[in-house]
Amino acid sequence: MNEKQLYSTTISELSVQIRQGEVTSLEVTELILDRISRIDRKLNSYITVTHEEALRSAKQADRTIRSGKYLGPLHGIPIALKDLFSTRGIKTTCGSKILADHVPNRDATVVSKLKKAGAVLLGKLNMHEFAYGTTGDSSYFGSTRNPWDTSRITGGSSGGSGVAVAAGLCMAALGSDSGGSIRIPAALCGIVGLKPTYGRVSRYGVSPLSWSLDHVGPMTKSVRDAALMLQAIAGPDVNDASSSEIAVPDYAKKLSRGIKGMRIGCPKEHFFEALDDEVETHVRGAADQFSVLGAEVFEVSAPKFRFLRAAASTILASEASSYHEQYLRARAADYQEDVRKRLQTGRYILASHYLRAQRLRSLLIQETLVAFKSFDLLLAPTVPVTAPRIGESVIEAGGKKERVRGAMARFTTAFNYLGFPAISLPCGYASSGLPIGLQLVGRPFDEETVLTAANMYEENTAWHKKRPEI
Amino acid sequence: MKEASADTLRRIAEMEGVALAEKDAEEVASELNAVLHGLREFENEDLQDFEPATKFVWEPVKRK
Repeated sequence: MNEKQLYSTTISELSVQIRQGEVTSLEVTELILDRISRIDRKLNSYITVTHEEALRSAKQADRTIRSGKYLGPLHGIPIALKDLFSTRGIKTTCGSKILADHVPNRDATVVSKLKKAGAVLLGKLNMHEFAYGTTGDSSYFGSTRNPWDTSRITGGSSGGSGVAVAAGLCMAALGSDSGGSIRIPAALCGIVGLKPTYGRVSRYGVSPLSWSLDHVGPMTKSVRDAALMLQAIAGPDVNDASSSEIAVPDYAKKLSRGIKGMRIGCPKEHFFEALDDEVETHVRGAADQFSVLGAEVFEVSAPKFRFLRAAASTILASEASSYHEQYLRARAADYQEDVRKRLQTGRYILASHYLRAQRLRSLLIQETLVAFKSFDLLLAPTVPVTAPRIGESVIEAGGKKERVRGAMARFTTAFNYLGFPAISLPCGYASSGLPIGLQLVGRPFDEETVLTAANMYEENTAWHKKRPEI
Repeated sequence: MKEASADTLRRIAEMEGVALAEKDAEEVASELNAVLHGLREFENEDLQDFEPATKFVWEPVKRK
């Protein structure tokens, strides 16, 4: 296998080759490490490359596989982690100056699970500082750069994860998502990003941004790979009280079951307002494609979604500010300017405001669950525009001027607030060559339906096969 | 609900012994007012029957 072949290969394809001995984990790991050393200076996706450890793990994986103890589809697969997942003995910086030298003495639960599945860790990925930003251009370690056009943002906060997967600098990555931080960079970088249901994946050992909005999920080249990654990390954890004991299904098994008769709702309000024309055209085109594939696609009304952003912002700002209280007192000047201001804002939100937002959340979850009785999935754009330029603070979409960081999360935050699973997958490219993301949202703990529909769309389109030329 | 001003925020910060630089205060006030403005949009929603979402935010909420 050469580098070009590997670039177009997914985990589900590579794992078969590794299992059958057609290629070794070591060969693949060396190819990617070499690619990182040549290409990542243009993209800045890695904060730490664990070169020696990766080679050691790959050799170990090859030995184990040869001895007949194959652990499953992630065995010997080189992956990387957003730099807020605790990794024992490896720096975990959260993209910040404050934690620039922080070395945890334990692994996050999801890291332990990936190791148990035989994955090879390539390193830790750049991110918007402390995950508090949607652009990915505010890190102590410098801005991440979009592989489709390096003058553009990657989206955030899991920007490094989006870039590394899109540019072939790892086979898959983990991200975290408190307002869209997996789905936004997935959309802007042209890959798949899955935010599972709140409680589906443990957050133990993951640096919090906002306890009641934080989710952990995979970022991959294909929907099937997202299913494989989710399989490895999902499930209850005694160390995370918010994790759920609801049984984890076999996600890959039902991926090809088809979508005939599936009911897909396109929201009339909010999600198709103030949108770039090309984004709207491609997302509506995807809705048509679902009809062709046998789904029933129709318009639905969800007027209260207009409340969601303000309520989610109230919770996010309050919880983030609470977590950072001590650092804000002692080291305010060490934060990136945009992050510091956002954290300071949270200090002035009253407890009554926070509780009103949490009570409204109960109401809206209940109303949304009722609405979901008439459809199986919601379909919407992930982001209203394609990737803006680095440093651009205001954009115009559909005749409306808006701050970039607000625009990025306009369609994603709602599903952190509700806790429903949501995936972003590529659904086209603008005339500029930049990718466009489609978002599918399902019922709580029904990732199977989300993945099945996304996979069916992917199997009948070629958008996910396109790779940036770097 | 009144708009928050940069001066007010700086006075509160001073009382709490936390630094809020003059250059940051204007923007923090603007950010805060945007959040508060959003909160006003649903201040008339009837939430009497609803407790705050807690452990599993997706669970159907029991009415009192």
